[in-house]
Amino acid sequence: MKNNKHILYKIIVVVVLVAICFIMIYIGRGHTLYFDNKGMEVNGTYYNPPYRVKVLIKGKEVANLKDGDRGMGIWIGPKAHLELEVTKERGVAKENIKYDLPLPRKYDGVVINLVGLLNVANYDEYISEFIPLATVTNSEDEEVVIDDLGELGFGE
Amino acid sequence: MQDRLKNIIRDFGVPRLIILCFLLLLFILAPFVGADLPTQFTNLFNRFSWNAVLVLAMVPMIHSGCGLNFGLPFGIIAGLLGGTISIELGFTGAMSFVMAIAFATPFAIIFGFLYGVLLNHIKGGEMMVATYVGFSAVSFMCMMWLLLPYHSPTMVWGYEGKGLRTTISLEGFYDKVLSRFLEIRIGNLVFPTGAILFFVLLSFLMWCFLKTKTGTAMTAVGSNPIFAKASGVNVDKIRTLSVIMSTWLAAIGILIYEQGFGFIQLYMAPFNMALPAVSAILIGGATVNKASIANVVIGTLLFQGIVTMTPTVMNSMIHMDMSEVIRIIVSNGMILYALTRKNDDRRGA
Amino acid sequence: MKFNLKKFLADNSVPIMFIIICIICIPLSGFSTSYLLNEIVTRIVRNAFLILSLLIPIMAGMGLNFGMTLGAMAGEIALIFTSDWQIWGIPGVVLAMILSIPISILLGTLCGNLLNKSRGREMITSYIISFFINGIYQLVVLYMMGPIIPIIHQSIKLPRGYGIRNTVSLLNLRQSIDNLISINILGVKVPVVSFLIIIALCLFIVWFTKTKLGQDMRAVGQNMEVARAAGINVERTRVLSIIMSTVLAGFGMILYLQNMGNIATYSSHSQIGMFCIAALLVGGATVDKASIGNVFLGVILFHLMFIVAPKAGTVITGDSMIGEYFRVFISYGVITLALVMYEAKKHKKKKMAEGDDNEKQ
Repeated sequence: MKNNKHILYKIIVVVVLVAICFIMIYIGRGHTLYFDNKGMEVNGTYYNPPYRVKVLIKGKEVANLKDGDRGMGIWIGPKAHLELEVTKERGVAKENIKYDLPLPRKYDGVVINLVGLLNVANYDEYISEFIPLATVTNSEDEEVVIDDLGELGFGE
Repeated sequence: MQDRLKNIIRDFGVPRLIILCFLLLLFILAPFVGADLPTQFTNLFNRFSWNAVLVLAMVPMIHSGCGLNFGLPFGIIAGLLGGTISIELGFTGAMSFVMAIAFATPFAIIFGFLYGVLLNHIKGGEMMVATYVGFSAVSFMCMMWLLLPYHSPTMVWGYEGKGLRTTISLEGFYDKVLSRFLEIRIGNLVFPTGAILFFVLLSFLMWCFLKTKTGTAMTAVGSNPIFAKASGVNVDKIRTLSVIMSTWLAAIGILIYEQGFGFIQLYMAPFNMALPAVSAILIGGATVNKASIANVVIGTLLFQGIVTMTPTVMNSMIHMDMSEVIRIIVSNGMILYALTRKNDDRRGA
Repeated sequence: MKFNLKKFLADNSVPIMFIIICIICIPLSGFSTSYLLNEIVTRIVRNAFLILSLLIPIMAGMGLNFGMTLGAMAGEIALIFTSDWQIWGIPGVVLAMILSIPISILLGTLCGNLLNKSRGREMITSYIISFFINGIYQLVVLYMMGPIIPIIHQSIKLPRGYGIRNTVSLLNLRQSIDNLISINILGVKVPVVSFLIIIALCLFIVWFTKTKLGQDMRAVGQNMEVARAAGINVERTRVLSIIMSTVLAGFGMILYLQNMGNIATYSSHSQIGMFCIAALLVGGATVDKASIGNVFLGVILFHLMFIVAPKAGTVITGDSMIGEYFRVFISYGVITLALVMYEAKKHKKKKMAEGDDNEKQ
């Protein structure tokens, strides 16, 4: 009897831990966000980029973009809370807009076209995957030094 | 019949069998992957001649029941002191080797005596303490190599004029003095006769010693200390003697290693020298409290065989150099196997 | 009761020696107080959890668990995965901890069972186990990650296509727990959450010693035969103590690495066991007795020595390497001293017991 209870407890603990694992994988997925302030066509109309866009994540400015600029920030979690501070034209009062932007899980780097975002384009049109340029990997192999727990020189 | 086979296998030990089969496999594969067998054998003989005495240094302490000598670096330091002092005083050629042994001996005896007395106070916990005594000694000597007043330009750092270099070339000193002695060359096969003869001599002396009254007393102390004490043997004295012998052999062992290798390695080098020697003798069939000369020879051959053969064969077969990892797993696995075998705990007692 | 100064000095010789070393070296090193305080707070946060993981096996009479390195390796493997899956921040740390548990349990069970087979020489065996498993770890990380165990990102793989690079960056995990809530006290940055975690572990250990299992461990540690006669499953209790230690060491390693900000794949774990044990012993612990107080005193004194010794050594001898070697020598020396004192005491006791037997006859 007591043994059964024990096994049950163990199963519950394992299930809870596995559940936490999945929650962590869901809420902990990190993305690198790239913000493009570039003109684009939405539903047949071409929109010019605003004069200046500042991107704020958690109240911190991560990018200050003029026409054609690209900025970068990181976000952990499935939905990015972004705050854009848009100055449409020089001298015009700035406007603050908040977004809750769902991020595609499978993209490590997400490119967001701010013009598309501001002008309510289709999700697929302004979100794309960031594909790193054929990274110049140093072709020479890295030397891996292994030894029997190289006893000395405490590192740090 | 089957029982007898089983017994043989059990006596030999499963891990040992695996290692032997592995090595045989390597030798069978070697010609197919284009490795030159004579060169391989030359490598094996050379490495055997370098390391055998260090492995032999395990024997006295195992016999007297002090366990595996993880404190080998302690003896190695005595050897390093002997070698460096001999060069410092300007001896060259074969003479420098003789003098190195001469200078190393008093250090080895003093170190061994102190070490032996220490081990007598901690019977039962020798191996762990030995490990850390070795480490402490090596790290202490790291400071000493910098501070001791060495001046020989071949050994000290050029620009500062003081502090010994990490590796010192032995060219002109005792580089290969033993290996070249009566060297036999057949095509690619080179046999370092002198070094092997020296090992045979030391082994023979050891064998003779174990047959003497003191030698049998040593074995008695190891197998049954209470009985030995009852029959009037001074247990502590015999143990100390065994430690001195081990330490001295380690000192000589490192000098022979150096003459074959061609360099003196100082500072951190002695750190990892104990484990290969320990695992070699275990692979050869020794246990924590039983070892013979045959164990030394078989063990060193098997261990060095794996060390020399795996890189060549593995590399040409799968283009991966896994030899280092295999060596770590094999050697430490072997020590672990020996430490966890219950039936060896008390031989005869 | 009269205060026995001689006994006090004898019992605390190691910490007192270290206090003296530190008192001599601190002025010589010329470091400012605020720098030293900051460094020490960092070191406590980094190492205390790892060192605390050593306490349980000591309680169970299994000596210093050199096999804590196994937990460290489990933690590293877990972190390699979270890093590859790009789980960042605190969720990444939590995920790594959970992932490390099954690996730690597996390795801990193996280690515990081997130690049961080598009773009387647990320490040397656990020491060799750490070497052996290090070989297995390299086999897994250097050869199996990539072709057999899927690794998504090229960036953490070696250019040759299999195996993990020498360093794996934890940039987006870096100090996520330490920086969660950190307050500044007199110019010293104090990471509150990290301290809370360490305090929680201390409380857990205190609570654990009072549970049935904790009491069993104590009994086993004091006398195995008596414990067995009292109906305790000695083998199981000993294995459990090693498993707990390994799991905690895994957590500790993850906290350590999140503070460091990167994993040195093939060397991070190699000395961790060694200097955690040295720190614990510096704090006045012995092979068969250690308390939470020893852990904290040990971290402070050991790391203070570690920070100031190289600089002081340079000032005294004019050679920067002397100080480096000196601190290494001291670390090994302390462990040697503690081992010798412990084994000598054990040997003396045994001899006395034998003497009693002889008298009775």
